Amino acid sequence: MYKRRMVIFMGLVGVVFLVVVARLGHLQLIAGASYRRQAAAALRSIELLPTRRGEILDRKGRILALDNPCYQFCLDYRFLTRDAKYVLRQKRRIALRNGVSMLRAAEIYRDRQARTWRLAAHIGDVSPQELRDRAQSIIRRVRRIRDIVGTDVREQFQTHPVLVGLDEAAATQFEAKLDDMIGAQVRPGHMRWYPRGETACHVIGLTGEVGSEDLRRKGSRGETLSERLDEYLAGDTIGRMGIEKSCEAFLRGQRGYRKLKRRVGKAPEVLEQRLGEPGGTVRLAIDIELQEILTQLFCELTAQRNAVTGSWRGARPSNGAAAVVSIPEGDVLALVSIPTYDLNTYGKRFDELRDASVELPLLNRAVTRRYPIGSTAKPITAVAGLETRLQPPITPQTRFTCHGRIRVGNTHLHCWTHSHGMPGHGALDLVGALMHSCNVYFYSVGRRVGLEQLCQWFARFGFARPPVASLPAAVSGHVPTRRWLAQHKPGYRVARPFDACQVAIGQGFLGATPLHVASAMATIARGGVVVTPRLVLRGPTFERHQEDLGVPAAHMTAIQRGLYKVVNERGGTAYKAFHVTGTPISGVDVYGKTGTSTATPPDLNGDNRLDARERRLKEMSWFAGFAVPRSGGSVTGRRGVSVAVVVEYTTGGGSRNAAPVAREAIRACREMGYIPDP
Amino acid sequence: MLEGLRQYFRLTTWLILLAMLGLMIVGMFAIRASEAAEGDPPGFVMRQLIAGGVGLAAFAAAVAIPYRQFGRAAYPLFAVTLGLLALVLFLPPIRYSHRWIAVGPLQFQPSELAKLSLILMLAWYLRYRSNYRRLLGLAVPFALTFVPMVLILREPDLGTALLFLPTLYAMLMLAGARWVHLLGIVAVATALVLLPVPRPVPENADGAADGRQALAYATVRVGGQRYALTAAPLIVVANHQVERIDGWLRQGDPSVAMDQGYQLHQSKTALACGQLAGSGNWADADLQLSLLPDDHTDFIFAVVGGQWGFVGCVGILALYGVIFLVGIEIATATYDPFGRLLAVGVLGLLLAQIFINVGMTMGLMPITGMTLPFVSYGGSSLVINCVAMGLLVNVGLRRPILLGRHPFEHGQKRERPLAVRKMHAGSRASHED
Repeated sequence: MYKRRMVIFMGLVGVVFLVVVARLGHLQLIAGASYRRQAAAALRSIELLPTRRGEILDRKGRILALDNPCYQFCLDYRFLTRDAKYVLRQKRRIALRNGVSMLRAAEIYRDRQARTWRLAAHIGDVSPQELRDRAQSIIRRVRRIRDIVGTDVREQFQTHPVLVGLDEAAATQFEAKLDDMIGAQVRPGHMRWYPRGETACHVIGLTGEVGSEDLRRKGSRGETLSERLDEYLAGDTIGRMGIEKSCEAFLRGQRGYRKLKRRVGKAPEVLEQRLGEPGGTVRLAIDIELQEILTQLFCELTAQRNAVTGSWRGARPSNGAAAVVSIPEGDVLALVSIPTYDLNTYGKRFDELRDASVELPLLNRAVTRRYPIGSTAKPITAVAGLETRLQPPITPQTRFTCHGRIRVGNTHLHCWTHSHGMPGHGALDLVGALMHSCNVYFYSVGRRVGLEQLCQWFARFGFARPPVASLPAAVSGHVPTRRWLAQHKPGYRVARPFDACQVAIGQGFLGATPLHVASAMATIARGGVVVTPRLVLRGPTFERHQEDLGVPAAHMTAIQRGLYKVVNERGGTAYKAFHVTGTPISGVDVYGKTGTSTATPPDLNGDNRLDARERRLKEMSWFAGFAVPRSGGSVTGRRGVSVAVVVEYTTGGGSRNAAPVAREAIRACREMGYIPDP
Repeated sequence: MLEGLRQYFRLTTWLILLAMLGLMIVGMFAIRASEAAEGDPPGFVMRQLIAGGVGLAAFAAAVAIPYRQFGRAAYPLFAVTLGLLALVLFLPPIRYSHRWIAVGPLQFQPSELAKLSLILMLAWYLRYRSNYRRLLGLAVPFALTFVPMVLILREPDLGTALLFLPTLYAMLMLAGARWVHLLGIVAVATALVLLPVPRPVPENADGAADGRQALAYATVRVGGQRYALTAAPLIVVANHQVERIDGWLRQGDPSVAMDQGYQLHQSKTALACGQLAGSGNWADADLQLSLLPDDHTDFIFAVVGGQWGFVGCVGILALYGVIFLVGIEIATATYDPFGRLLAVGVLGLLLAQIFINVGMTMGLMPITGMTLPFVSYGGSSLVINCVAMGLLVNVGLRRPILLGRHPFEHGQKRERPLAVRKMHAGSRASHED
């Protein structure tokens, strides 16, 4: 029996050897080559090299946005994912350093873990929820990089910024506590910084972190590794508004990467590297100084006016917008929207800014809000009247008589004199009608021209397009053709002469942004050449529309003369503002048009209905015009600026509310050289 | 048949010595290779060289002293070993465990000594008995094995402790214990080990609990509390051991390969990358090797596989094969029951060590801390294995001329009265081979 069992034992040894050799053969001979391939891939890793976002400058090269050095509070990826091995190693280190048992070390670890989050929330002044979101975003980002590369990446073993934009003080505070935390590090980094704070905030825009929504939208997968690394990853910065958004691709730059191979006991060998390309510099047409002055002017003058009139705003400045466009280039020199907000504190104040439903600080009123433009539409109506083939034709000399009202269909439409208890304007030609802003004259023109023709001219002046291509928030105006009405106001029955009359004086469904109006004024100053305003002087190119409307010079001259008289002749609607209450600007010819339009009143208290107090607030004050150096002869061809100002919910009309702002804006332009010497 | 082989192994001593030396030399090359891969100067290999010298001296001593002398000293030696195993638990831990006794610059593992003293003790205890033919008679050998096992598990050193059972089994099997007992115990133990035990699961389980979670048979919810049905030992063993088992069972999972199964994955990769003849033409070989933890000790076989490929591995196995063939010849040829048991114990221990160690580098077995005899770096292990080989050779050199009956020929016809044979005729087939 012993021998039999010996044979069995021998057999057992044989079986063990056979199994081992079989497994060995499978691993080494059959799967060996594939293991080598996998091993070679795993020994290589990839590291992303961050790039620097481009700067935004104003037209004179002053910095409006830049990536500024700051400190970042970073946490280890393995700490965020609670990697078991990492946690164990940390516990062991604690045990070794403090000479305590593993059980006690685990306690200390838990303690430090909690303290890490507590300190981050405390020093960084953010909510724990924000920190959690941030951690999730980091995890998503690293996983995505791993997916793209297909092997381990260095990011899995690195720290990642949880809090960015820390100042020296916060960084020092963190550094003092690093030993009480787990996987924490303070690293230098970049943060978007807007040196001008509030000025031109709506134009410059903002950056934010790429969210999951952006990632889905931009989720096209590239072919090559470098293409895929160029895609957005969670945690990347992306332009959210304004120029930051529209010039995103240009500003963003291209991140670099390094393909690394591990080496024994040395820093990894760089197999291949692509250095990051910093983003391009965008130069805007904005003059930040003019922008600042105009913002201040707007606030001061409207605040003064409000204090005097006992407005609902008390002594606070009104909301509104202003645009200054250079002639003939069409450069947007200033684009003001009030109220403003500080770009640098946007993140912290976001909830407050978003919820301000009356003030709407985030809204770029100069290009996003469609106002009824009131009488500033009249020069365009005039062009429509002169250029439409009618029988008999309307010429600059054609007179319409204003009796204070006009019968249109079944209703009477009144001239503005009606509500002031004044008689009608009497017989007026084009120049007089513009000078006195006679509604009846333009009702008559509108009625003869008809809605479609009228709308066509507003469209040709650029109202049917966004006023500027480089602002994502820019909207096209409302030009209520029949087609537009059928599309946007289903169920609305066009009342033939009535709607045309409304549009003719800038009411009804006609709506346009202040930049539309400023651009239209520039078109008139150029003698009928439409040029889409531009905001970006250097950077990505945006499409611009340029067109000569082919209006005869005599017609343009008549309209220009009308606009001149508005400002410079006693009885003109803006005469007082430019010559009586304010001092005239020397060496400058100002042409302009006031406007007082009726808009939907605001719901101030947010109760979803309009009470009596709110119902009175429906007046929008306008002034639109242009200013060129004083000289004889034709306006066309002279350099200068066009201006549009709108002040929301006023009393007293455009001549009292908007014209003074425009006047001082023109004076500033004159002083800064945008209107050359005569 | 086995006696027929005898004439071919006249040089048994030399064959074993040569195989042993061959293994030690290959081991030293492998240790050097693992050092070189990490860019270290020769350090381990020098120490291993010294240990090898000591080991050869110990081998010579173990050959020179007649092995029965060892037998007589078996019980005191076993007692001393138990004392040392108990002592080591009270010494300060070295590298998180109580495995080493440090004497000056030397470190010594009593658990290595325990392997040898257990074999000696069991051989001495079993040599003239036959009570282990009964189930109850197995109690004493099992108990004697469990005492050092439990002490070693306390260190903790699961790998070494696990060697004792196969060794015991090899000796009992050759001594002639009944199959039904031996296999029955295995069956019952397996059932107990795999028995599902409900374990409450905290709602926010952390990383280590996830391993247990993954290994649970099923999860049930009773009255708002989740319970995981888990094999009983998984509840008591340490977290890193759960991870190892998890990493072993889920080898195919890439995420496990990066985490719990990291060491196994690296080991398999290092081994497989050797392909047929080694990684001489593969530029990343050293790099791959440097990623493998414990490569000069427990995972030396992966280094051999990576350096010299399939050929190298089979070569190592062939050297072991020589030891086994010669050892089996010795065990067969000797008539002294103590000598037989001693030889079988040494071979059983060797087989268990080889299979567990080589198996774990290839993913056949879960990872336990364990050396590959003669090849792995480690002085205690080397010296003790040399002594074990010395004893084997010793048995082969001192074959007594036996005049009496053959020992433990329990199945022989003449041993039992006819009546008893008839009575047991029906059941014989089931427990005889």
